[in-house]
Amino acid sequence: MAGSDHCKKSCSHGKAALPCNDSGGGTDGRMIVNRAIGEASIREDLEALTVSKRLVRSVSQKLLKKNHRRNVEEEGNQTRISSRCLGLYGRGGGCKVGADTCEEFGDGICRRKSSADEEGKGHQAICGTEDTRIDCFSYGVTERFWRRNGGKERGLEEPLSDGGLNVLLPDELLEMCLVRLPLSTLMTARLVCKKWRSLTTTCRFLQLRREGLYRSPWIFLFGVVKDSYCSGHIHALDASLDQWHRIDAHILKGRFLFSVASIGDDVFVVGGCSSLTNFGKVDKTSFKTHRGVIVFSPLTRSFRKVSPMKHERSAPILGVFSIGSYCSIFRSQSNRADGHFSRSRVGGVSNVYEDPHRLSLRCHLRGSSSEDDALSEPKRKPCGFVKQESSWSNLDEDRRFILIAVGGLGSWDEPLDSGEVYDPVSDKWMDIPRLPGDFGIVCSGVVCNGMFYVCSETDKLAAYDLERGIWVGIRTTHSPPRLHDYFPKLISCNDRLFMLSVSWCEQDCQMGSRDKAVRKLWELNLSLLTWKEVSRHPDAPMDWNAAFVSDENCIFGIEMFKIFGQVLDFLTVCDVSGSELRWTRISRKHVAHELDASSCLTKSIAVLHL
Amino acid sequence: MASAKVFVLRTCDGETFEIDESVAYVSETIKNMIEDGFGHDLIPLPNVSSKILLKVIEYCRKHVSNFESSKKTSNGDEKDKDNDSWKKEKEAVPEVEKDAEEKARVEELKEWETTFIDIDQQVLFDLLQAANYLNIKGLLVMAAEKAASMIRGKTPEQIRETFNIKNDFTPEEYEDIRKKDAMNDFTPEEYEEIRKKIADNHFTPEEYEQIRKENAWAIE
Repeated sequence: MAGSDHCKKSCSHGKAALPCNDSGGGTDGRMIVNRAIGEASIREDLEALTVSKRLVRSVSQKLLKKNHRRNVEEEGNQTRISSRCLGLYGRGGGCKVGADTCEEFGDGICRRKSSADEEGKGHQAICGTEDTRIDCFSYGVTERFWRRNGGKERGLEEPLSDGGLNVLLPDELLEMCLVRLPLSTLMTARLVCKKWRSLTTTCRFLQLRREGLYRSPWIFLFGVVKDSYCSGHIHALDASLDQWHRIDAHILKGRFLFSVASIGDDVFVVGGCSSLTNFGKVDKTSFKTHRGVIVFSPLTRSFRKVSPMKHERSAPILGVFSIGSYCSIFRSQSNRADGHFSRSRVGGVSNVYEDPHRLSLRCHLRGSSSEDDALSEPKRKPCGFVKQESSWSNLDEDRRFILIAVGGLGSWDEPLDSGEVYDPVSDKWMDIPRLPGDFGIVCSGVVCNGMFYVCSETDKLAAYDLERGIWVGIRTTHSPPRLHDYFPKLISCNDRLFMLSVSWCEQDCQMGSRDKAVRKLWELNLSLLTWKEVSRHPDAPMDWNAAFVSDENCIFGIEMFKIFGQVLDFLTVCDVSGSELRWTRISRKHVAHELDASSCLTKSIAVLHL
Repeated sequence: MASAKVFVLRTCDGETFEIDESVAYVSETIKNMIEDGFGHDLIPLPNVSSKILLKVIEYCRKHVSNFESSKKTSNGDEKDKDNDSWKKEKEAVPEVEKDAEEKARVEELKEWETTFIDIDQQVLFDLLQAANYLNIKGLLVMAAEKAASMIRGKTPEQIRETFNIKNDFTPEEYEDIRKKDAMNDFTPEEYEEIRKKIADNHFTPEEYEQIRKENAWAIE
């Protein structure tokens, strides 16, 4: 049949090839009439329409299909390669058709085609002859429809029956396509129809998305102050598309100086203060310190409260342990009294560090009445907890997270040396031993290699061993020198420990003077306990409360400060996996210009893969 | 040895296609059928039309030839025993050249893939289903990725138009979730346009209530 020949021809040209006639039974029912959404009048007897009506219709079609894709257009046109089409073309009509078919019919059509093309890719040509109007119409679907059904109105009981993709593809294939979308497109997709919405919000779908590595980093900026109110807005940066989004978080209104940590797909907002007299403002004249913990799930844009901490803290130092499910911390921890700081040998490594296993074994055998009480070791019990049905979609079966909160300021703004750990599965907080007596005020902490490293305002370093429930002191060869106004910040990437600290620029500084301050990135050699400078931040350290957070092998940093009367924010990232560690700027779009300068003090960031 | 085995596939529209064993084996489904002993006669593929099978075969052939050429550029193994002498010659080629060849091969494959998958959505979806049925992973992934790229960067209305999907949210419902999922960055004009086009109410009151609850923030 002539029609099918044309089909094959177009196939071989690699053009939009369609099952263009009905010999293929499988294509039936797919191209349902109702492409022009809202145009219920398609059903009407088209041949009865006058030219003017069709012209009007085509104009409104144009407006509807502003962004209509060309290939769909072509597809519609290609379908007309059938015997019926031939007849029409023979009458000298003809709209946009594929180039190859054009040749078949001689110059008349070709000329028409070129003019049609020029009128715009997405638009129907306003053709002259009556008959061709039918073909131009609505991606040519109508045409096929009429052909197939001999004019009978099939499948048109509902004004807009759901054809196309939803009928076309089984759920699992549709899922396969949707799972690859970046988050912002996914959010859009969830607004398309109920089916897409339900498909993209199941746990299974989110799991697939996570495992397939279709996610990209998102940076969440918390604690911003606008017009002197802690309005509870969260600013989220989609790092891959460089797009900022603003999320309303009423539940965080008025709260400031909280700390944030990302666990799985959620962000935990811990502690903080709010003003009692001047609600909503950053006002510490009369304030209340919170114990509460709020969990923010960006994917569902929801907030929920979990168990509060045992102590009120503002700006606690947080860390997230990622552990295998065998760990029995909560069992063992309950057996202990306040542990003591284990004094390490001068000038070297603490003996726990040297051979933790042997030491722990020794303690274990001796029982708790050993002279090494400082290192008293709980009896290690086998994992006894029951694997609970987790309502979280984001927890791996084998992976558990433990949140640790240490220090911060208490209800009277007093610096705290206590700490506690939280288990999301059992939703319980538990006290841990206090920080070592001479440690000082803790100013930064991060989990690395199963240990929660903390540093103090007096440049001491210690680590909390979660398994054994004890603090160990870490003596390094020398701590990086720093300006005393800028507290050091610990960061961990892929089991490597880094520190960001601001110091004077020496040696290879161009100016040669000591007046220039620079933010340096140091790495700690975990076996030799020596610090080595690995990178310098290109920006002058204007923000003494710059926030840094790590995500796999990247360190993201945000600095916010007021300059020339405006608050500006600068986001940078450093990839530590390379041999050369360099900082690059991300996002030229500033979000801080609306914000108050006090946001610099109160801001905090978290990074998630979404 | 180069396989002389040929299999015949028959599509739902009655057409038959002959393909080599290596090409046939790209499809896990066909491979299983052959191994189960159905290879002697025609292998029927009732879910695939000839149009689509042409595309599938094109993919499989490219896959096979690409695989073979990749073996040649890498320190391949003993696939073609007949070509030993030729292989020895190849081994004498320095590493750098091999890498360059490999790169060129990869480039060429990418270009081929781009052209191959540049098809309209009707064919794309048919291809997606065929790849699923025939269990051809590479093709499935390619098609899914292409479909995803057709969704990217569009507003919900545009997505609906492109794929002919009916909006079954009520206007209130839509507004509700749109506010909640406020990452879609509509311009006010676009939103207005969308509002005007929204379909009639098809929710039952219970459904509607449930969805509202579902979407409410878990505060307190």
